[in-house]
Amino acid sequence: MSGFLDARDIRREFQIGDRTLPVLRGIDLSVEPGDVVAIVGPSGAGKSTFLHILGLLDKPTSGSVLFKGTPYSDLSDGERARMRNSTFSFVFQFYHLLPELSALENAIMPIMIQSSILKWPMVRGDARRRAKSLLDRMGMGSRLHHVPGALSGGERQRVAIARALMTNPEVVFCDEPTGNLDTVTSQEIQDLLWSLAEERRTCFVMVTHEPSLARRAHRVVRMVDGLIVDGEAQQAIAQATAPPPAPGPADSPAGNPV
Amino acid sequence: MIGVWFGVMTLLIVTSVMGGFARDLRARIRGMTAHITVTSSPASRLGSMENWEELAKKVRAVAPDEVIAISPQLEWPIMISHGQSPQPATLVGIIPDLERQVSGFAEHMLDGHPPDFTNFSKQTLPPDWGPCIIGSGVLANHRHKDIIFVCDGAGAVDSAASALFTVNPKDKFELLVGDAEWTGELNSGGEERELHAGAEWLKSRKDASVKDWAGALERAFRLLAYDPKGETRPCVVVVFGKALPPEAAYREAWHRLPSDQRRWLRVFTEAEILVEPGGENVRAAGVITIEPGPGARLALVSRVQDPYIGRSISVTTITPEDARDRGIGDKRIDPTNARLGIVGSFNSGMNEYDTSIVYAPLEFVQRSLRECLIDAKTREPILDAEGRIQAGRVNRLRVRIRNYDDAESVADRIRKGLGGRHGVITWQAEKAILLQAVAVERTLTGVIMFFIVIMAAFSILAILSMLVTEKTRDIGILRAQGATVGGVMTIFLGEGMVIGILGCGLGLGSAKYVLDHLNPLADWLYERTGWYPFPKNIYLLDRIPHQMDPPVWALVVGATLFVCLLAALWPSWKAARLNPIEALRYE
Ligand SMILES: Nc1ncnc2c1ncn2[C@@H]1O[C@H](COP(=O)(O)OP(=O)(O)OP(=O)(O)O)[C@@H](O)[C@H]1O
Ligand SMILES: [Mg+2]
Repeated sequence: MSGFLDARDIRREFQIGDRTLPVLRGIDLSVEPGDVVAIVGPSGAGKSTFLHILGLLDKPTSGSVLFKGTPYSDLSDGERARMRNSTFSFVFQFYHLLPELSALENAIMPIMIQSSILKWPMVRGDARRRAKSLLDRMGMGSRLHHVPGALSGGERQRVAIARALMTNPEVVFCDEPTGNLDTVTSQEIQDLLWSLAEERRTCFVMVTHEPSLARRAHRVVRMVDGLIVDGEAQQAIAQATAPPPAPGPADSPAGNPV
Repeated sequence: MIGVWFGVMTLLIVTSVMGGFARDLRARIRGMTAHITVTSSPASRLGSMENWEELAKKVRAVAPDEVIAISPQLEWPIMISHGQSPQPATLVGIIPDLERQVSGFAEHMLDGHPPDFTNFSKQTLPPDWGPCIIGSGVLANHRHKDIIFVCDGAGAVDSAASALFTVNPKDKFELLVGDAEWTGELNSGGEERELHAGAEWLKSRKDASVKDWAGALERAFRLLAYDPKGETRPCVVVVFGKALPPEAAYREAWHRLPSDQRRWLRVFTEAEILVEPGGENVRAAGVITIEPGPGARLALVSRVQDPYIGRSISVTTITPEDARDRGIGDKRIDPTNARLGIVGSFNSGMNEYDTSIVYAPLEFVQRSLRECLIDAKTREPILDAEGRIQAGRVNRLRVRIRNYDDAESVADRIRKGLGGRHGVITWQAEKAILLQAVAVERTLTGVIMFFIVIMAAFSILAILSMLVTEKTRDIGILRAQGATVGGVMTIFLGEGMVIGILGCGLGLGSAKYVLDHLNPLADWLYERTGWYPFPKNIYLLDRIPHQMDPPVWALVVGATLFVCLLAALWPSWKAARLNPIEALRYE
């Protein structure tokens, strides 16, 4: 029990018609500040579902999550929204950028959401400056005013990552951040994430199918069928049985179809 | 937005035009109907009005601050014989100076000159004739009035075009502008269309100008003199122009006619015009009369728009239908004839008055009635309940007050002050049915129109619902970035309000535009389709009225925005309630 981010006996069931489908069946996990945790496991194991619960996008059927000792269930809707905005952030497999906005505007979005209309004109300049430097840092300096439709997958994911870091969150959740990218781009994004994690000492919790990414994590948690199969010890198995068995990432067909 | 736009636009236009109608109608009723009318008491209608000056003093004393003017009237039913068939009308004896302060007929004189019976001085009228001012519709039923307009170009064609409707030709009209001419036949149905076509033709000739007045008049005279059937019928030549032709031009035109045609017409010298009935007045109004030769047509060559001036009518007093109320009982009275020379006519826009009223000087009517109130059987004068001769009196007082909205309360005070021996009614009471009909009509249209706005609101509902569906993923993204339920709702409510405000703005703007250009638009419509939405000679208004009432507009806009807000509420709520994960999953 670290007291930073603790999940206790998380269960999540989905109701499909009159059938109840248990997806998470009692998950315990604690994450330390600055931890980089990789969650691996076969498709359908419930990784995304778990991540959403941790990131306040979903509520568990039972069990509780505590952030710095406060259970999520004690939070009001407004506080949950505020935490999603400033304390946590998400990087998704499918980027989830707003198609009408430019790269820069997409990156600024969380700041825009958090400030009231009256305050916005005052923080706008500063936010733009920070977004620019973040995007610059990710090699996107020349693409600031492109809309997502005019960007490649890798570039979109860089924008999404910049967006995730704009608010200086305490935890960044990544759900298969490289799942949709070709091998070379995937590698670049991995390097980027990794170096950002190193230099910021931000806590990262990422779901990934990439053994190369998982290998670099401080901890690897393996999920099978809604349960955690003990982490560290299973790392070898994870590598051996992961769907794309990969000593070298070079020619593994990474990614799911869109 | 288009829905809101058109909803607001039609709502505003319709309510404004209806409002304009109601306002004009009320104004016209007020203009022609006195605010308060005091009549004799039901028991002895005429007796109590023996001394109207005394009564007027009493009325004034009751409400000295409110009463502005009082005008006595002696009103009696008559038949007019003019042309073939007699026609019922009402002879109203007035003192013009007093009546002008009470009723607005003086502002509606066709020739624009204030009514003045004295223009018809004793010398110029045959001794037993009286002068009169008639409603412009009184003689309109007499078919056989041909009209020839001789027009100068710019400036004059417009007044000629509108005069075409007020003089109301019956069989035929000829228009001469510059070298061009136009003939309208009115006896084959489609009169109104023909009049409009003529008016349009006139308006299209703005550039033409008459260089040779003698030539133009000659053409008019030829038309006038040409008479294949050999019938005698009155015909009017009206000359419109910034500068009128010199008298010499009339003479020259007359001389140019072939001698067999010339005999139909005679041009008077200035001196001769003066001794003609109405000559004095006619000259004052810039009118020159050409007396027809034996069996010829009458030609009135006139710059003014009053074709009735200079003509005369014979009237016969008749036993009124409400004889008992007038204290005559079941006695029959002797019809009396009088001959009246027309010195002017008015067009108040109130059909009821325009087609029935013949104003004449009070003493003249009194004198005529004194002769008529003789029992036809016994040849005895008819006495009222108090045994007095029913003549030399007035039978009602018309009262004008400071504020017509106070009519009810002032009427109450007068009623009490006169001790209940007189009937006192207000203009609203006199025209209650008409006013109620208009009010009901207005409310009904308002209600119907409001449904249009509701329809527009449904279009907002539909648009926003579609938008929410379309933007589900984006909503999910925003929510994942920490947007609150309230925040998302605000976005969609805002969108709804933007649609509402834009729609209202466009609606307001276009309604204002349409109302400002209502009449040109109606004309344009007529040109394209031949359909005229506002037949001028039915409504007796040459413009479509409208009233832009700021509180009403504010109400319409406010109600529309409110309905838009309501319509936006549900989709916004739906958007805000979306589960972010479901929304993100949405493809
Ligand atoms: N809203 C839902 N309703 C019903 N079932 C759901 C819902 N969301 C997830 N599931 C089911 O829960 C299970 C776990 O889904 P989840 O997306 O968490 O798996 P995952 O481990 O992330 O898989 P992948 O690696 O393919 O992304 C799946 O079988 C899925 O069908
Ligand atoms: Mg997943």
